[in-house]
Amino acid sequence: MAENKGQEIQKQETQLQQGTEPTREGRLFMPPTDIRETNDSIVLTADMPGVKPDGVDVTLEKDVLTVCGAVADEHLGNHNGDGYAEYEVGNYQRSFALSDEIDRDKIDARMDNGVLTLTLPKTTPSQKRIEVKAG
Amino acid sequence: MTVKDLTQKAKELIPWNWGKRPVRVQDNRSRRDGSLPALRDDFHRLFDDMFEDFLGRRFGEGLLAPFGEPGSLLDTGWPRVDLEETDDAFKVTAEVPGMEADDVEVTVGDSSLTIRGSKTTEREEKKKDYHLMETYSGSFHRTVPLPVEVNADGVEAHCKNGQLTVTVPKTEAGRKAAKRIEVK
Repeated sequence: MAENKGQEIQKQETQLQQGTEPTREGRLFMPPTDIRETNDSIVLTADMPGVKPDGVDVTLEKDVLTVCGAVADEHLGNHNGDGYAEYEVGNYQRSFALSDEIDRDKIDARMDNGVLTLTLPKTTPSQKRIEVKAG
Repeated sequence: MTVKDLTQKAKELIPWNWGKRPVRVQDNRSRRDGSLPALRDDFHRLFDDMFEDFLGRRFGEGLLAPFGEPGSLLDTGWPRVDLEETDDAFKVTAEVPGMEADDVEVTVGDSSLTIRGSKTTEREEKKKDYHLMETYSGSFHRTVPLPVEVNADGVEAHCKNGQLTVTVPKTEAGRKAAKRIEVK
């Protein structure tokens, strides 16, 4: 449990599937993500500080949505490990499994101040809610 | 007395916002599936929370700070801060995803640099719509001690791509403070 605690404070590294290797040098982190559901879409926000809009790569393969963020060189060069460091700079990667209710053609991605916002619209907007009556 | 009673007792003794750190908002509901491993995780979390509440800080924190002082160096708070020193300047960088230059305030004192700011999101009100909550939000305050004299007028701060970079140049006297010792 002590290890779990450490991961919460530290940036969490992405666990790559067995047998795969990263193609870029450096550490690979798992961006902390919020997933919010609205009436007609699912909104995903991932914190990737140090990543420029053109450094983001979002791919959809079968039902797996993968988010990659390459950290900009200007931020990478600053950290040589000298001095006092609470965090390390690296690239980001995380995958999400999509359900059938997502409209795959209308996924929207936006990168702003190091936060990636993905809007995944639902195919059938506004879920029908069934009222549960007592008695 | 059971462990649970002790936990309760310890919690009652401590002011709820002791240490005044930004609270991490996390929704654990998604993990609670009622299975045995989930139960065990919950138990571990309770145990960790108890210790954290009791100490009010994590291990290694506040080594340079007065007891209970919020956000000082060696306090692994949020946002995370890196400090780098060259011959001419200090460079402080922090990860502030989602924040713009207007959200961050940097002040330089005689012997310290303070970064303040807040990240506001709409999520506080709509908590129930969240399936996963891992990011931080709220206000923060972190202070970094500066060991030598610095030129407060020459400080530059940039906020770009969610990365805050503050460059604090040393004064002539500050530069001389580091004396090279010849190794014989």
